Amino acid sequence: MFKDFIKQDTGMQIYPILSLLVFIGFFVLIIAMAYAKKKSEIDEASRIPLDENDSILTFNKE
Amino acid sequence: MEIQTNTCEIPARNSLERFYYDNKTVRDFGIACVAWGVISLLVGVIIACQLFLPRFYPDFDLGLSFLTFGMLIAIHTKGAIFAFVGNMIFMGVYYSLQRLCKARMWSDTLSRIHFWGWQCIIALAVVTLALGYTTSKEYAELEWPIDILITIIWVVFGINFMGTVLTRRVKHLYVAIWFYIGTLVTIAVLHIVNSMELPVSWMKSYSVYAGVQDALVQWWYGHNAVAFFLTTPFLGLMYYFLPKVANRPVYSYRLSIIHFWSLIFLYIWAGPHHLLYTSLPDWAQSVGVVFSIMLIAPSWGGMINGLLTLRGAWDEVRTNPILKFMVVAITCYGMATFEGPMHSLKFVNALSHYTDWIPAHVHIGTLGWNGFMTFAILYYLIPKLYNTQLYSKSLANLHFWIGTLGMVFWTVAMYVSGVMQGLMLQDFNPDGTLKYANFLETTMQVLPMHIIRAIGGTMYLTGMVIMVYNLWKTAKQGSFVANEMDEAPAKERPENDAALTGYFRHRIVEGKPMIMLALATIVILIGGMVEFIPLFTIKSNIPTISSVKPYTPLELEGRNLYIREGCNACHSQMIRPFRSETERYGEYSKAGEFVYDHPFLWGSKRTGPDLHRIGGKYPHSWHFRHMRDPRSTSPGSIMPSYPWLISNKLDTRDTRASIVAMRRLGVPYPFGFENEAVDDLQAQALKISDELKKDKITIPEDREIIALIAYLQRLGTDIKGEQTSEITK
Repeated sequence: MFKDFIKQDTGMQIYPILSLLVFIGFFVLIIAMAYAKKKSEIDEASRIPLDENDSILTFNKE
Repeated sequence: MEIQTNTCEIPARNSLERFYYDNKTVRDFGIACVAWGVISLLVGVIIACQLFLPRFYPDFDLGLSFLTFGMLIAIHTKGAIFAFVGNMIFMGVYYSLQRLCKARMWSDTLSRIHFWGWQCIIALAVVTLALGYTTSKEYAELEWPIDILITIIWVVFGINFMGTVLTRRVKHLYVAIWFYIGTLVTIAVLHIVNSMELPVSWMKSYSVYAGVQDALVQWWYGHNAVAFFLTTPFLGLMYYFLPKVANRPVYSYRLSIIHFWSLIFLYIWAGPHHLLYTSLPDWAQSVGVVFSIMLIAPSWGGMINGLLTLRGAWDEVRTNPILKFMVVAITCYGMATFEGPMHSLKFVNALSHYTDWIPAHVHIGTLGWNGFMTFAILYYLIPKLYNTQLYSKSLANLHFWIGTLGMVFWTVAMYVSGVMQGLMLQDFNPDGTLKYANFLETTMQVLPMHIIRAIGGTMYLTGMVIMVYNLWKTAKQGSFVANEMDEAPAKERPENDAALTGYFRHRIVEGKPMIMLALATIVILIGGMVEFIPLFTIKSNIPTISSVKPYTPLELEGRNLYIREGCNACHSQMIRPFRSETERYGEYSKAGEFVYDHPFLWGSKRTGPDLHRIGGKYPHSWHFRHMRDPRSTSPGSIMPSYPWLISNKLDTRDTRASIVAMRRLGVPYPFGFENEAVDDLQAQALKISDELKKDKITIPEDREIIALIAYLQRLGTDIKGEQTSEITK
């Protein structure tokens, strides 16, 4: 199992701890960044696909 | 009017710039998507019928080599993934990217090269796979010249894509574009790493990885092809088209940020769950399981985000067929991404792996998630591109219902078949013998399910044909808008933007595509590297077995034929360490037995029995008769006949080059052996032909069947009689 594999080589013990930290760090960072965004920014960004006002477009036919 | 780049017509500061969207490329990808989609699904229905027709019409395949299940299944999967879904990805990306960036695609020339290059790849794939040119690696069967072409065309797409993003008029990169960027980099990395192969001739190569390592690389690729070709680009399309159709913003933009990063971070690690209970080291299997289970979180986050976008709009779902397709698509995404992690639990996998349960799971994803999302986008876009309304809403509704029912028939039949056959194969009599000792008995039992599956597939295909008619009539009643005008203010320079300065914030990434590209690349590389590096560098991961020797030249040629005919589509070469398997097939497979297998041939589905210990089990004459007419040795068998193996002369022109290539890859053939390889081959062939004569079968020794028999008789025999104590670490 993973534990045996880790035991085979000195210096490998750090790997599980390191990967756990990388994960926690990664998710905390992403969640923090997501929630650090201002409400106005979020609203603005989420409306980007809806910004196009299709009705005012004129068409150039083939 | 033709516009070559997205340069504006009125370049005035602080005023609106006028530009034109390229709709022609969008429409062309749409047409290609529909055309290839119908072909791929038709092939799917044909191969579904091949799994029960032989029971009633033994000569169903007309003795034609390119019509066997092993050949057609590769064409079906390539067609469905890269032609049907692939062309939809490009249709959706080319449409949404231009609008989200308020810019025309960066270069019309690159768009054309991309479109025709991709269709050329698909056409080449169909022809070469039908001719038996295959690497055998699932979803990566295409041979090396086409692999190079794919790389070039993908780079063309990448340049055109990033060119558009970098010259956009909108500061913020909308979440859909992040998913596209994730797709762009990851597919490039996956394709290049998994396609590392050493050419032997212009259409034959050997994977540079062997055995266990090849299996890990392949399923890292296979799993992530699903993740980054069938999932992330479609999530991008969902984040763009669902708000458009429902006319409301996505439920939670914050959730989409978390969804994106956690999904691409976790997905890349989960590949080893395709190799549970195989010879892959346990630690790698465990890593795959853990990450697969964690994947539920971001996947369901995305699904919930999609479904909740419709809050307050559910009454529209009743009446709008486009929304209906989308809701079923997103629900299927949720089902498939729940089921995937469940399959990764070892005790579930022990039953489900190699059975029809897996195609059922896969088809919830492709028919439901990809197929229905594709139909929704086509129903939305074609009327827009032709500046008209959809020809018939009721036909679209009919398509929805016939497609949904077809999918239910397809998948439920395969769930039942998978669980039934899985349980039967594990069943023992009270005296400890196998209840269904003959694999064929279980095949017979699930035959009715295969008939229902074919009916379901036909219904789904019928729905598609109805859609083709509906869209064709829609196009006819409208007039195509090749270049659609829009106006937008010129983009502000980033240094003038207060929001992009100061401490590190996600907004910086959202405004800077190259940083996004780099970060996404780093994130997806971590998982692969953590799994590959120990397996490739630490010797103890694959204990060597002293009695395992390289294949003889004749066996190697036989192995090439096994690959050419696609035998691995139905037969595994990996006996798992269960009593039900060791009783049936023999000693379980060890990692050290595959060290000379370039590529590995473990397979992923057992339509027929495992072949890893087939060597020496039957006389040569049994194999000869079985390949000529499987029903003569195994009454009721659904395997195709292979008469051409008996009439075809074995081509030995590349034997020498094969030996040299294998030695370069680390197989210990002595220097100079390549010069005597053909003589060695002929001597062994003569011996087999002589032995066949004793059983009253007269066949010249230069026929392909002789090489295939030599290979099958070698399989799994190296460690027979070996004691475990002789296995050296």
